[in-house]
Amino acid sequence: MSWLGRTRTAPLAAGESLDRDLVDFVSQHQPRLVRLAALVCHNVADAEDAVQAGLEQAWRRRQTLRDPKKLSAWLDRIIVREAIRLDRRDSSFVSRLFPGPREIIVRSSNLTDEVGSSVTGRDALRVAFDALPAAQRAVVALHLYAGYSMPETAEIVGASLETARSRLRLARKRLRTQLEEDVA
Amino acid sequence: MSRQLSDELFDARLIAYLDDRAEAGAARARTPEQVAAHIAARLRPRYRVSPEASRVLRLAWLVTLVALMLALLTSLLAGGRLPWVPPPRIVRIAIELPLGGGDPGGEAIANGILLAVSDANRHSGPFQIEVPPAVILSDIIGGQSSGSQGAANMRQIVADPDVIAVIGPFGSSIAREQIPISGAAGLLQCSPANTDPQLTQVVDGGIQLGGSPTPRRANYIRTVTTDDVAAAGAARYLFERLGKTSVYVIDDNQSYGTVMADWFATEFARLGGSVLARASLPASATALSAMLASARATNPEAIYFGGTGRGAAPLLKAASQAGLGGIPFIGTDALNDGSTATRGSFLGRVGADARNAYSVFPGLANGPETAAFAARYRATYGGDPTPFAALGYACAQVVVAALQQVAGDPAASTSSLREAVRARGANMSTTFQTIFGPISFDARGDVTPKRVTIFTPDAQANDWVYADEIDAAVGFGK
Repeated sequence: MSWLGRTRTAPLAAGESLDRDLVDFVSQHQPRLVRLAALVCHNVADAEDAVQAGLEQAWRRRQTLRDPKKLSAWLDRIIVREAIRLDRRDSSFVSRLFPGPREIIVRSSNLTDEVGSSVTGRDALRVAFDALPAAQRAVVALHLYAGYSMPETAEIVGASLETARSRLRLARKRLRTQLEEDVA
Repeated sequence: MSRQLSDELFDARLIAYLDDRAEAGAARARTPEQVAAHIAARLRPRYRVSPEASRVLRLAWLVTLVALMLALLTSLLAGGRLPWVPPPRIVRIAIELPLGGGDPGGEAIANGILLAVSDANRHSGPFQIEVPPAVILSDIIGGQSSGSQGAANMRQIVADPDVIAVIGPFGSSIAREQIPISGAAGLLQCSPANTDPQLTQVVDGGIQLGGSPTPRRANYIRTVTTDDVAAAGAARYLFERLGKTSVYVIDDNQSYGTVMADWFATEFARLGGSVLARASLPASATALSAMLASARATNPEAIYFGGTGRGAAPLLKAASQAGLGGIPFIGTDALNDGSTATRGSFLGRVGADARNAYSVFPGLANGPETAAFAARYRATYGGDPTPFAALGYACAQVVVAALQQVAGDPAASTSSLREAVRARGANMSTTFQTIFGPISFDARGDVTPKRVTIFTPDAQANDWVYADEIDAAVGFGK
């Protein structure tokens, strides 16, 4: 990890083949994880970095996981915590001096007609969502997007149940305020 | 005005946004194969080292680290400095004062100088200043300051190659013996107490010893002003601040008192005041009463006395008895010889009659940092500093500043360092920051600003206290 930028690694040497198990492992989990990370991070590059670093950690430590049923939750915990760490790094003084790409561009909404949300409304949500602290975005993503219960969400983000609930309540309040003002 | 959204509608919009955002992120992400390739590359061992070699390398690294830490610790314990910081160079400042006599004034000045050196050494730099007993010399012989002893002391000081400046002496007569010696050696000499203007100026046909008639190298400076400035300051204070326009001028028949009275009278008249009479102290009490009766007849608004406290005390008591106790009685700094508790002091002998007395100190006594200096002095030595002690501190500040300003080449030999300090200290274009604020020295080595301080007795403290200060740039030297 460079001190400002993205992860850069050397490509494989000529003739070196990929470990098939590793490719399968990444293929199985990366699409889901990058969606989750995209909700916690400010931009795609950070989300990718979080997923790549998280998958690498998980691959190195995969023997330590005792219950294979908990693999998904275990991966989610690693990725979410890595995403929060990257977001805090991006908030540092040096990173503000040399900002990278900052936003995930939402290109379409498949629910537009059903709920009547407008492009303006999505922009308002995006602005409000990006303004939330990463820890609050993580709780929203895990509970409302990934479908974890609140106790599970609290365990994944490493906070008490009360703290996780409080984060969700604050996030909802801020998002709702922003959205209602925009709709008005 | 905002519009309320139902919970269901809000959740629906939020979840729709989360879905959109997640899909947008996924659409732009690298493929799993690309991610796997990056992870695989990072998992490759960077150095192919056998386990045995790896153990040896780790051990070597540990040994090196421990050795470095031990070296650092040893260096810190031995010298208190990091090994890459060169040790400071030791230089000396000498002190030449009347020490060990009956008057503690010399000790107070020495204390002030030592405090300044201690303060300077607190800031790390290329120099460490020391003032060992070998360079603290007294000119007291048989209870009195001796010119020949002062000269011998100065010869000893200039012979010490580590001495880069000397502070002292107290008496102007001692300075008269020393300045030729320190000047020949090119040693910066700063006095906090020499007030004789003839040390640096040609006054009344006298001989100039200090100063800088080219090509002679100036080496003598002083943080105190001169007697002529003090006399002029007394005249200005009386005329401009107290608004007195007539004065009866008396001297004590001694050379110092006579010349002070003359200088005072000259300046007072120049300002536009009226010098009603110019008299000398008579020898008998009867004659003194007669003189004061005639003084009373002239109806003076003030009395100036040129002389020491010994002559001033009986004069002021007699003047009070003659009905002149209600007018200002102004004199030299010799009147300020201690509180009422000091044995034989002017205040102790005069008592309540001193209520309208003023003593003019030939220099600054108050400044931006004098209160802090006084507090540190009290904390260190347990007593109040004298005005001359503060001027001694300022002398040391000048020497230290000159040393710091020429510190560009600390490897230079001591003789060249001594010469550099002299040139910087006696340079009339240099301004030095002191506890009195910025000061500088003119081509003669006399201090600027030429301000004098007025002290007056405080009935509650039974001592002299600061009353005012006044600019007295007009002197009588040439």
